[in-house]
Amino acid sequence: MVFSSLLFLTLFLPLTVFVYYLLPNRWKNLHLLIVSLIFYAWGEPANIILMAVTTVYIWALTVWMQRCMERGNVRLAKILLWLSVVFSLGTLAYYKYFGFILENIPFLKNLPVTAPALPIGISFYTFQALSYVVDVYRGEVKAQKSWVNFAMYISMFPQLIAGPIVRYSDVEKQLEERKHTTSDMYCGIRRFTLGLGKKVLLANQIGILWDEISGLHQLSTVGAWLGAVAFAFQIYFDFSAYSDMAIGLGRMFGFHFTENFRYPYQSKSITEFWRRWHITLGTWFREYVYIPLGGNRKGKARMVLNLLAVWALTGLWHGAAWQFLLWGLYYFLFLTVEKFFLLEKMERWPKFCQGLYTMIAVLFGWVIFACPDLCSAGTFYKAMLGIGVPFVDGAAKFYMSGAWLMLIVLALGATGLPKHMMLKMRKMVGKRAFEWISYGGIAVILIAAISFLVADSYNPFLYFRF
Amino acid sequence: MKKNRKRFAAGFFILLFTVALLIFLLPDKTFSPNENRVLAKFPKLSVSEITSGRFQQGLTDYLSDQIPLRDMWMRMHTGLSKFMGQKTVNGVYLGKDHYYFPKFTDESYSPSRMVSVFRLISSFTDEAQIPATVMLVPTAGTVLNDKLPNNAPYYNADTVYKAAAQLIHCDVLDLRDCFGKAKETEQLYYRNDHHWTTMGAYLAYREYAVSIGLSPREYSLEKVSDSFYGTAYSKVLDSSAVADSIFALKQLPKVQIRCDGGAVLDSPYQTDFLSKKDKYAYFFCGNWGKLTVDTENKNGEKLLVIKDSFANSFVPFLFEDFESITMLDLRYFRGNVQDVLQEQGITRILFLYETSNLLTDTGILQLQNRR
Repeated sequence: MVFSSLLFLTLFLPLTVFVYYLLPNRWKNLHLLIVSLIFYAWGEPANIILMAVTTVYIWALTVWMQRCMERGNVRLAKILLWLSVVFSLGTLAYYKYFGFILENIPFLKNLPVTAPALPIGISFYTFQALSYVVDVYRGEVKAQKSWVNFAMYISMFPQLIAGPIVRYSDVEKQLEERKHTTSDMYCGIRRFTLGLGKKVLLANQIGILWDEISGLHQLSTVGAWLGAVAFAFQIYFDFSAYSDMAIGLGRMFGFHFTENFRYPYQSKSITEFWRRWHITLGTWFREYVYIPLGGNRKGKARMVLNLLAVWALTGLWHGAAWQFLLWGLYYFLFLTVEKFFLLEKMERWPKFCQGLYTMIAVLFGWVIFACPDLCSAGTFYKAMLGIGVPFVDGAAKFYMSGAWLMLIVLALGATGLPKHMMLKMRKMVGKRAFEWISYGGIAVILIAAISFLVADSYNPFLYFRF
Repeated sequence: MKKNRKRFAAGFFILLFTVALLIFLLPDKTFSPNENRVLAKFPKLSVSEITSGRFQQGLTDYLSDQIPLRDMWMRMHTGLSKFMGQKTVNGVYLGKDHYYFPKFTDESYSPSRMVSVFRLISSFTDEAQIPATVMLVPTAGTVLNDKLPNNAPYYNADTVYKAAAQLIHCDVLDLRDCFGKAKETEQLYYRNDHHWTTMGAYLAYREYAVSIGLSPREYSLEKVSDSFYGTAYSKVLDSSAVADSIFALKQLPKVQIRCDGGAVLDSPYQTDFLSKKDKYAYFFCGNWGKLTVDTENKNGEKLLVIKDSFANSFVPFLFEDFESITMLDLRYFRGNVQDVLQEQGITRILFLYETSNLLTDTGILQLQNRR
């Protein structure tokens, strides 16, 4: 199930909230677990088996591991740690990378096996499970005694499908005991609706532009840049909207998740960009890969190697294909160069140039990410650089004339400006008036989003009956 | 403030849930005349339907199809898209002077498929050894290119006509010159529908008559409806759309029309449909797999029209010149075309397709079926 659907909005969400607040506290987690499993199983009911096996296995092993450590049996604890890690990474490898491995290793190509379908959200919840296992082993958190609570943490529907990757230590206390306040509920609704609007009204619409431009037989330089910008906005608004909705939904049930995006397109360097983009993923790789490998404490050469490992893995995490690996290595290159000397040098550049450099690097990165294969990315680069294509053509003019207003809205929306303006407005009109304006704003966004959802589903078979 | 927030939160969820309740409690609509399609019903509920995911998909479709005030939501979507500067809604260009054009670009068709379709038509007419004409009706946007949004990508019709002239051995009728001149004074295409108007069909008839050596007759047209909103409109539901008028021949010779499944009509014009949404079905009740018109003319000329819906408003102009006219719509016809040639004693063949339609139509491949 997806948040941006009438099914979720009119049926799943209201019913879940009503029942949640009618139940006494001790039943609330079980309720959230059950609805999360329904949510997860909605598209592909068989997925529920994998989820059940994963949660039972990890939960049982960590409880055992905790007991071993309390009794001082560190060796057995270590074995249990590895059993959990191998299991988690094994399922991820099987479901996500098996097909890729089959395709690329010559003597495996002809094997009569087929790769399984990718269960949704597996990359996210496997990482959550791993963070939990490692934190228990490190003694940073206590193993969760209740399977219901643990399974609910792993499968909680707000963040199940597209993050943020919530670390167990961040929600440990909230799982057992959390407050439900009117203010949390209201802020949750506001955040969720804003996210819904971002996704349906902005991301989906600019996504159409990218689809059209990337489908053209003939590109022009202006068209290619327009396409790259469209994709950059699409992926940011789509992904951050999903995080907004997740955080908002979490708050409705009393959870406070960590933020996942902080206006990444405002960054003044690639290093900064990755501190603002998909923050929970970056944190995860730092905590569970980079630092355990030695981070920057073992000399320069080792640091570069560690960075290489982290960014190759980050790339592959985004998808099992060469282009994602390349995309990860592309960032490895920028980050290493920045770490060694560029960041220092850049400090003397004008702020505008720093931002421009960052945005151009990010745009070129998205092209690798967005194109279906490396070959088409090459064609797209050529067009962006003006090699063998006209500077501007009719199609580019047409798309520009339809998109410029949208692009301005998106460019402003990707910065902290709207929030700043809202705060200013609150000061100007006063708290009370602003409150009513917010109510109106939420209602307007919700209604507009619903109209787009209704129209989206609208695929008339007009020729069928004519 | 806390009290208000509480009320707001309660209202938020209650209103959303009310929408779902209304969908379930209000009687289901089975058909949307505006969109001209059957709406989704509540899906069958069983274990196997759930494990296969069909129930879930069905419920999703059901909710969006049965949402109260569906048309209002659609209009709001178009209004907002237009406000944001969009020139395309649901695959339809919002053109100038209230014209709507289904988007069709060079990317919308496969050139290699086009070549094989033209070859197929050519080998069919070659084998039949009956005089044949292929009429490729220009797509609305090809003729009315000045009404498209500025710079809107549109397929290059030149490429298609050139390929047709090269690959098809019989006469290929290109109406672009004729239409290009006439568009200044006449409305050749509906604003809200992808079809040509009866005036467009009339001009095409005159060109066709000349090309097969007949002298074109003078006909006068009369308005039969002034409230036509067609397929293109259905996709955008734009509140600023302007209704089209439908014209018909003032005087028709007496004919008998035998349709698939034994239905018999005494006129190609079916007034019933003028009060419905799909007013273009005024012509012959829409498309039939096979339909034969017998006139009182006994000149022995028997025409086979292999066609799409554009032929429906065109064929009545030929009633005075042929003894019988058989229309085959290969999307619905499930027989052998060669058999039809022999059974009916066909003396002339006309392929009549709107160009973009022919480029994507799959029915035409039916011509491959040989005995």
